[in-house]
Formats: sequence, C-alpha cells, structure tokens
Amino acid sequence: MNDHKLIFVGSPGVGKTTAIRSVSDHPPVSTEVPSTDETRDTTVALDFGELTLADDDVLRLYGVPGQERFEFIWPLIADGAMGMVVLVDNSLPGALETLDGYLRSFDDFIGRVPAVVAVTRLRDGVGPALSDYVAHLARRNLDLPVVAMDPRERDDVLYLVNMIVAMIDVPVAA
Amino acid sequence: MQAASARQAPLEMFFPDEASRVACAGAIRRMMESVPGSYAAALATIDGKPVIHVAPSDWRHARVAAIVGSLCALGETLGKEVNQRACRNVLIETESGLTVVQRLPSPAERLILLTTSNREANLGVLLTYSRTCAAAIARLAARPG
Repeated sequence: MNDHKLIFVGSPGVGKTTAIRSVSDHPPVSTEVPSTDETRDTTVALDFGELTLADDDVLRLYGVPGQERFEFIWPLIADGAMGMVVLVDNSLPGALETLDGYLRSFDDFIGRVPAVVAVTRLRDGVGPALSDYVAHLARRNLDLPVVAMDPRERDDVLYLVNMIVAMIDVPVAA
Repeated sequence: MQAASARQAPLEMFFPDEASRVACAGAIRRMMESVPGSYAAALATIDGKPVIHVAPSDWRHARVAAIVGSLCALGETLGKEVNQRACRNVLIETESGLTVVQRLPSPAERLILLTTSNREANLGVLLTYSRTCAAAIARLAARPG
C-alpha cells in the first residue's frame, strides 16, 4: 500500500473544503472558523481527508487556507505533495488574475508535479469560458488541464482526482 | 516596545471606542508586567487577523496573527481528535521561552490571546496571568454583529 498527497489551493470560498468533504472516506479534519469580514466560515490551517484508491493505495487530500496572510503555511502543507488542484471561482471578478496569483505562489511546485485548474461556478455568459483559461495558461507557457467542477458533486471531484492520479500513474479511485 | 493597532477593521470591530482600546492595551501591559520574562503579547482574530499587540518593533504582527489563528484551530482540532473537550490553550515550550495561545472566553470567543516569555517565566504564572488577562479583555470586547 502506498499513499499519495494531493493539495487543493484557491481563493477563500472557492470550494476546497467542500471538494475534500465530497470524496473523503471519513469526515475530514477541518479548521473552519467564522470569518470576521464575511458571513461564511473560512479555513485557517488546513483541511485533511483521505480517499482509498485501487490496490488499497491512499490519497491524502489537503486543503490550504486561501487568504494570502496564511501563505506561511502553504509550503508546509505542499511539501511532499504529488499533485495540485488550483480551484478558481469563475463567478468572481478577476478570476484569471486570481489564478495567476496562485500560479505565482506555487510556481516552483507546479514545475515539479502534475497540476490541474478546476473552475467552479461556471455559468454561460458569466466570467471567462474554459477556453479562455486554456488560452490564458498557454500565454504563460503552462500546459495544464482545465476542467469545470462543482465541488459539491462527488463525481466531479473524483473525475478531477482521477485525472491527476492518471498523470502520476498510480491506480485510480473507484 | 510599542503598542499598536495593526489593522483598524478588526480592532474597531471588537473595541469600537477609544476607551475600550486603551483598557485592552492596559490589560495586556499589566499582564506582561506581572510575568517575569514576558516580552510580547498580541491579540488576533480566530481567522488570523491582527488586532493589537505589545511587542518588540521587529514583531511581524500580521504574520504572527495568521500563525496564531492557524495554531489555535489546529490545537482545538487535535484536542477533539484525541477525544478531549474544550481546548484551554496551546502551549509551546522551546529552549529559549514559552508561548501560550488561547481563545478568549465568551463573549469574545472570536479573539485569541498570544503571550510569550523567555525562560525566566514560570509556566504556571504565565498561564494564570494569561487567563486572567484573557478574561479581562473579554469583558471589554464587543461582540461583532
């Protein structure tokens, strides 16, 4: 049995905690607290879940807090990860610029391990299209898969996870 | 040493008037004066924003506040994970000092107090004065709407 580590990064509220909760075999470890400037809760340390893959391999799923003030913890959580999911909320203004910020912060990491861009809240006529993301990444010489995802949907998250797992050539999740 | 508000929004949210801010800083200073070896203290929100600090000038208050928020959440989460209830504080003991992180009691449970000391401090004394200070600040703080 092997274990593999996958990290989820992205803006606060984009769906990292929800995505991990959607596929984790057990109730995930969560460090959500009430936000002082918004009505929803926000992750302040990490999320952690586990997903059993084929051959009893285990995928350890880590979510990082999205706000820049928690940047100190990003490399601590990312250390040893074999892949990364960058989530982008397409309903917010400046989605492409937000994506750029996370790509810059994890620049070294993205060059070493497989990464996928997962676009949430994708609606026709609102925000960039998936093709805009692909073109945007291409202009930065980044060849990353871009997929639409609803983090509440287990199948959506499994599709994404399996894509990354396939990129690193380990058994896929059921 | 300096007492400073790091960002106005959280400070004004929890201490809307000048009198309560002065009293809060006073409570922190009194605690530090009562604990031999105490060299810094800070108040942060549970989501990692700086509120107020009494600390050396090189103190990176925004970064400290974010770490305090993460640490408190991890301490409370670990406590639950190992079947313990009601985390009182997270204690860090190093070769050069002690650090205590604790969430304030109601109605200020969205605030966290960090206290630090060198090895001169006695752990029991530090914990006792930290808790007393936390309770005093909690009485001063407004509950955000």
